[in-house]
Amino acid sequence: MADPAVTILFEGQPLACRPGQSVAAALWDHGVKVLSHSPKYGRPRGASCARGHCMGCLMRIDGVPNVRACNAPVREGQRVERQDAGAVYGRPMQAALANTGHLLPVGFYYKWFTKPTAVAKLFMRAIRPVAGIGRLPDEAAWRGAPPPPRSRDLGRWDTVVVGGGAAGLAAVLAGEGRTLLIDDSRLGGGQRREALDLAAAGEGDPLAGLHRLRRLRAVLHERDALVAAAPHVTRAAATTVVGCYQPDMLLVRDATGLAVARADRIVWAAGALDQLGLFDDHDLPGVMGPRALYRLAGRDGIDLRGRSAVVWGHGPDQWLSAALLHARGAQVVLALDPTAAPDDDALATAGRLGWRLLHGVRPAAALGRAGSLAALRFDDGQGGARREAACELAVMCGRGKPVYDGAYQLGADLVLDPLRGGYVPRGAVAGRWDGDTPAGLRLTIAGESAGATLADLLQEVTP
Amino acid sequence: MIPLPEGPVPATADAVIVGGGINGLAIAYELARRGMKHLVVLERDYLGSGSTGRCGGGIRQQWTTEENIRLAQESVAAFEHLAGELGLQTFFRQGGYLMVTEDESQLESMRKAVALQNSCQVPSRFLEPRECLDIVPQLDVSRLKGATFCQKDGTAYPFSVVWGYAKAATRRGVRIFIRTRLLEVKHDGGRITGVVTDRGEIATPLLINCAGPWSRSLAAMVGVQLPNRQERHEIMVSESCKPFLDPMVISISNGIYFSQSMRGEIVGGIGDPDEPHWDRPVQFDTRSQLRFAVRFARALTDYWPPARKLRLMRQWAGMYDVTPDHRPILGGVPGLEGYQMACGYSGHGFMLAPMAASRLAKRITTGEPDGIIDSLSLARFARGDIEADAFVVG
Amino acid sequence: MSKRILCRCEDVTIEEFGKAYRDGFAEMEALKRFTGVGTGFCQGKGCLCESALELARLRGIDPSQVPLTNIRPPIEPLTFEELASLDLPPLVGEMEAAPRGDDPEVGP
Ligand SMILES: Cc1cc2nc3c(=O)[nH]c(=O)nc-3n(C[C@H](O)[C@H](O)[C@H](O)COP(=O)(O)OP(=O)(O)OC[C@H]3O[C@@H](n4cnc5c(N)ncnc54)[C@H](O)[C@@H]3O)c2cc1C
Ligand code: FES
Repeated sequence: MADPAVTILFEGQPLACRPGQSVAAALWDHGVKVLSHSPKYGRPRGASCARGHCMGCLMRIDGVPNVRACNAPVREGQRVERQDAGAVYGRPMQAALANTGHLLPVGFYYKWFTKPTAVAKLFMRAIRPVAGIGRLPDEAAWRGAPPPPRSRDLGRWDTVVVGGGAAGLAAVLAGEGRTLLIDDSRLGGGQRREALDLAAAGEGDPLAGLHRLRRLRAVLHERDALVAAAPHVTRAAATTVVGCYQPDMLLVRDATGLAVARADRIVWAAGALDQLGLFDDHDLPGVMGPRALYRLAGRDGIDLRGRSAVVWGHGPDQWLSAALLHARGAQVVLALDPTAAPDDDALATAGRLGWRLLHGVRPAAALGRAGSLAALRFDDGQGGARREAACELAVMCGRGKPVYDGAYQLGADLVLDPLRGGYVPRGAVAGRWDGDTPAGLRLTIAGESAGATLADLLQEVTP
Repeated sequence: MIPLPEGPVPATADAVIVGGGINGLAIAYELARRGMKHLVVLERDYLGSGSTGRCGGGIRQQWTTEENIRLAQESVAAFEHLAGELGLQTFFRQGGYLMVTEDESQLESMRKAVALQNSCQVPSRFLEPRECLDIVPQLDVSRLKGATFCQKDGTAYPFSVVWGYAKAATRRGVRIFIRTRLLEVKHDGGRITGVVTDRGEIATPLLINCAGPWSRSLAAMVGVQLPNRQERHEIMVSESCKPFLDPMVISISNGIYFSQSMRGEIVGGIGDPDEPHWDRPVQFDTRSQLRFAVRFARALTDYWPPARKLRLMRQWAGMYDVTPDHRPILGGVPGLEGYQMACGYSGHGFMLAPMAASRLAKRITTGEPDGIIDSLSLARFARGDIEADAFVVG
Repeated sequence: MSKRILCRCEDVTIEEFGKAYRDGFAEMEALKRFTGVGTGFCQGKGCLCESALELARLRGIDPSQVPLTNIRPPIEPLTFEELASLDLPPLVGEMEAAPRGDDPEVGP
């Protein structure tokens, strides 16, 4: 670490961190991967999505409970503590539950001790302290004058585009009228832009043989430059849509707080979420998806030198993750799932860079040591041919799950389609849906949010 | 426990109950408990999808009219052993209700209400603002003028109660059809003869309207005009934290209410004087507004500043079915045999349901008069015999 | 002990979800409230699709037949402090613009 300028206090212990890092990343760099324990079974949890979408990283920061350590930047003197969900009855009870839970009827707290009345009352008293995560904020955190109300109206736009990846940038360029582009990354080009840049700069030129990724990078840069030069476009970078209200309102958050924007037309191109797959103990700290890796290795720059990482799955995100990990100095094991069909140049790149290759495997279990990932166990999907790969990081590159919440809240009609990764707009064609919502908004859902894969999008941009 | 719709509805039933909310299910259960057979409950969506699943789960006895106090009082007694009776936890917890006001002019009616409640043996008491701190330590009492408190009031988890009634009713032979909608009521010569649903027809001599906010349009199907109107109310839930708040806190000056659920979440809402009061049920609108979230956040952080650093997780809206005197409409109507209703709960039908259902079921099966049910009949509006309850909040 | 977790926030395993289904909580709305799936800190981002797929499998129906449960605003938890400091009087009134049908489950 070149310039350790910030010192935080992790459970009383001073830790030097790089400014601009998130708390979760800073702790990773100091070897702390277990950031919380799950409420019922007390299972170790860590940063898993790195974008404020899960609960693996909830910590008590400066006396405030349930702060997402992956989204909280480090600050001088910051007090960071783990909050144990089951602290009242302690870990022994959680451990007991974890080992006997399968013997209890599900929802036993609904069914047991309903009578006699006195017992039911005692039971209510006994279980009340078990529920709940985190204690109330420290008085110092809330005492004092509240911030005064401020108007943060970003105004009304002809078009607001949510998401600045390949699909969002294309929508901005194809559109007209005053346009606002909202994206939660710092750089234009969406969540893969920074990862692509870092990978391209890696030792041995990891992207050299990965033509599709090079093409994607070029396209993102080109579109980003066009958007930057377009006079009708205003960009809101590092800005997240945190709620949608019908008919046409977006509630957004940036470093200065909440704001509201409205539009005649909204393009929802918010991409997809990582989908890790349902294998045993996939919730161990160290198991994550490609998008989490892009954040942690990109914006947060976690230290990956010499770490062993398995990258499982198929498609462009698998190769981008591997290239990024390689560029950051990690040892890469590339575990191809049975559907993966890499071209010869990609395989040659893997060989040239010394990545270990596994073919036709599916994850069966994550194996842990001291609460975090130590290895991934695979089988061939038929229960046979077990293999294990030691790793402290596993990047699961399955089918992305379309981000649907905002589109739904604006009034889109969604349908569950496992072949397209999750909830997608009913009647979407070729990764796109256009129409009017019942409340009269012109809505477009595009790109991965409409069920396209990155591979589909690449096909679109590759001549 | 929660049956899926399979096969057609039966061709005949001794009674058809419309509405799979707490009232419909409690009445079905109470009728079955009193020996009625061949009962059918129709629910257009899932159990609890109406007001019940959207409500705050608050149960209080601090009312200003005697009928409301008595029904609520009996309901509290019922909730105390309901879990045992139904065989499922209700998560009923008597953390009390703290009713506060910032308005000097309300103190007198609060004192009067306490006196009336005490005369009914409800153990409520009047508190000076400072005394509220013994009950909710971090409450900002600087603007408060007074409060009343009753430890015996509390909250329960609405879905659990609904499932409990459904389970107990099913065990007694009641058939519940979810995702089944009543489309039409057949009546002939002043008596109910049957219903048409989207899954077939049922011949029945008895129809019980427990359709909550839809009850007005259902009553209209048989020519009964209800004076009810439907009001939208929004509500929210916060992240969950370790226990910190015992009672339900409720302000009769600005309409905010909030409590902490057994899961540790703050559950709360606030009334909105500028909310359009939809008169036609076809205009039901249960979408959420940012306006609510902001108004609630301001009121909550004003009353209880530690909430500044806690988070709102989810907001939703439901409908109150409001009568001119804020009291329910129970029982039948003269001239239409086989029609009964339990509706118009005006935002407190969760807490009143157990006892209203039990009394109404007894009234229906025995035909014996019931002082409370009969005083809450539809006819009271025509007679002009109404006294509004002043403490409707939310 | 090794577990296959369907919902992380509420620690619901895939076996528990199946047990609740067999207990009679046979549709998503009841399953969600009974098991807690989708009601935790992530509000379903990590488990709603997964649970709906599992329910489709248990019932032997096509996933598209599982009705979507309401995904209510906001999208991310918001502190009451930041909400309270939003000063936007024009927030009033947009509801009147577009009355909806009589189905309370049509929108968030
Ligand atoms: C935001 C909010 C907060 C509240 N807080 C509280 C509180 O703290 N305490 C309290 O006591 N009360 C509270 N209430 C009021 C309470 O929720 C209601 O009074 C109560 O739930 C009414 O129950 P019900 O069974 O009569 O009606 P509902 O629960 O509305 O049930 C009626 C059912 O009928 C069904 N239905 C309608 N038409 C048809 C048809 N044609 N065919 C088939 N089925 C049909 C509907 O789908 C619905 O499920 C609150 C209400 C709201 C909206
Ligand atoms: S919310 Fe921080 S890692 Fe998922």
